[in-house]
Amino acid sequence: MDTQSQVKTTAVKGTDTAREVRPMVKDIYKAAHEARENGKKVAYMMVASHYDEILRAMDIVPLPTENYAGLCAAKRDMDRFLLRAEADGYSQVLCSYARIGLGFDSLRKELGHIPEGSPDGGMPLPDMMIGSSAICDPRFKWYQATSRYLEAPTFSIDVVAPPPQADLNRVRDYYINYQKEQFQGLIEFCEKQTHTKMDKEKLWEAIRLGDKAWQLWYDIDRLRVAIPSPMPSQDHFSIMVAGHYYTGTQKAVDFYQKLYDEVKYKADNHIGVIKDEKYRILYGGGLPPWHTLWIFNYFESFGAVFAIENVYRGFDPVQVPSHVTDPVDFLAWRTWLRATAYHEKARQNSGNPTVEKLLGIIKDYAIDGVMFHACRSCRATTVGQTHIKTELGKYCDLPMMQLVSDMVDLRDYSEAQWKAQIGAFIDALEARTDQE
Amino acid sequence: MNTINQYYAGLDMGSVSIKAVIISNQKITGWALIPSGGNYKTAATTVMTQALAAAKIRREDLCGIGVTGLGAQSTPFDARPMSDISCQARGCHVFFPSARTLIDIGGQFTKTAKITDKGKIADFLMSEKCATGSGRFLQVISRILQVPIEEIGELSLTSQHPIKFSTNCAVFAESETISRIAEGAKPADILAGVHKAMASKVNMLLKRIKLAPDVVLTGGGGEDAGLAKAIGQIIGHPILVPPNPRLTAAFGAACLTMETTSG
Ligand code: SF4
Repeated sequence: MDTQSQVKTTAVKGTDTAREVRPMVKDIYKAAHEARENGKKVAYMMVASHYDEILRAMDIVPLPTENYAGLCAAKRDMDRFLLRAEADGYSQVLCSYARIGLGFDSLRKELGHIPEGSPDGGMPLPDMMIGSSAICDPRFKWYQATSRYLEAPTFSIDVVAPPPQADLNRVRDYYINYQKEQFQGLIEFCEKQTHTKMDKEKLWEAIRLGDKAWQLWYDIDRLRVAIPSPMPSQDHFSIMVAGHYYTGTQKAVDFYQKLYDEVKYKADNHIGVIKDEKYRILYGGGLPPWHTLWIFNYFESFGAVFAIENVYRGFDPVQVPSHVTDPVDFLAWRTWLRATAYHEKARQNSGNPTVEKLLGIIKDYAIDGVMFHACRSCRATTVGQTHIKTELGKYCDLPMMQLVSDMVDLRDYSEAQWKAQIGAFIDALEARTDQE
Repeated sequence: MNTINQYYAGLDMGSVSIKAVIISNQKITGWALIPSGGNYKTAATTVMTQALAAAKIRREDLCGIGVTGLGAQSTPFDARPMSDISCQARGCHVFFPSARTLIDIGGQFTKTAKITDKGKIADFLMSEKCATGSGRFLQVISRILQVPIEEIGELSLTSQHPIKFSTNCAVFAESETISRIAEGAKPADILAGVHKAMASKVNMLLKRIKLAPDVVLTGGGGEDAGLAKAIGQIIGHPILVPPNPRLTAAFGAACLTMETTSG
């Protein structure tokens, strides 16, 4: 066991391509600053809301505020923003991503400029803010609260998904029509802010690039069934930058093509992340601990590799029917198909789409154990996690562990407790191997 | 390899106390237990010296040292840090080979584990970072009631009407205890109420790992007969307690070291 005290936050990556992500992250903020200087529009935005291509088609530069919070944590420069938001009255149980964003904007307002030394130069003031109900409530309300600190028009889009037991054939058209109205509303909002009409051809092009990148990303993840694992989860938490923050761009396509080639080479030549892969772990859910990503390497020191993960993944590719010829219709259909991808399976088995997805992963990736990360301030990925773990336990007999902290707030993290749990988890994996 | 008359040490560097155990052929030949204090390294050296003296051997006589507990990373010895849950499981298995479920109530956390017939971990769950789930809760209440911690178990067993705490939070329970004292509640009834509250928290963990008999209670909680009784009642199974339950992890660490060192 590694007895050295760890101070760094990042993890050693498994692939060379993943090491190219850091400049891409820097470029997100650089591009936003340059856009402001050049009179282009910049939007605070929420990832995985299915609307990225609309922004690209309208030449609006996306500024993902959640990512900025993760970046601050990876740089261990989050406390001043968290504390500021809390001093402004936001509870410690509010999403820490939102607290960092609100704290950053609050400090900027007070200082009259970006707080000194902010990671990657800080976020410039946005021209607009586009919230989203996809995944959680803070993403819908966050920018409304930000209006305390800056003046920029806000639009929050509703992204809907039916419950697993719904009669999909009966409700489908209602959902798709409603979703289309929501996208249409966003387009009108963007047109008003940019004084430009949406060009449908440009939207089709962005969709084409977006889908191509995500197909490649999916193909890369399928390569990861290889034993030994050619690409670990810590790489995923870097390479997702292309899929989530460069959606609808050629840059994302090129990046994933390069990564695909590297992972394929490693898989074909049995080049694993570590020399002696003993256990293949599934990161079952919860946001990554951005403050302590080296923990993945700590697992590796026991021969345990995170072969795959179930968070911040691209959606599995879906087949939108060929009769859909309008790009906004296409987006609405795609959103529906993505949201219902595991509903049928769920109805036939556990009743829970997430459990079904995990069961499929466990089988395909020859998983030996599952780890969940409960993030105290992320209700969306934490509420229900214990239930999912329990349900999963009914269908597979694998050691599972739930580590508790937060995605960015270090005050919820205890290194000693994590190491104690990880030690026991590894012993449980070993005991299982002994019995086989 | 013949391990008879070979000595191994186990050190459990817990948040409240540090324990050292010397074994020979899986039998304890000496042990010591002292408060962890502010300096883990000094305390570890002291407790090891005392345990060696109790076993009447010298440091050089040891074939290996195993270390576990929250402070294991700070060990001053050339020793292999090990998971404390695994050490507890190992220790329990030696005392009770039939044990399949382990409850360890320590100063900071309560840990529960399912154990295989070989004394290994099959599944485990720790309490949240909350004082109610740990020995700290008992320390708080014993301080308010001014009853020494080692006497609370016996006193609790004399309770006729355990009080029901309306909170599961140690901080609020402190003020609630003070209110109940002011209302004239007997210390025995307050303690029995605390034990019931803790037992229900432990029960939640056990349900999640699907407990199987026999059930063993270790850690400081194992020295509290009132707590053992409350847990036994709520889970519907008798509770086994090893001799000197605060030493089980250190004992297990020594046993595991013996096994890995002697091959
Ligand atoms: S999903 Fe979780 S982390 Fe992301 S914004 Fe919502 S609450 Fe915050």
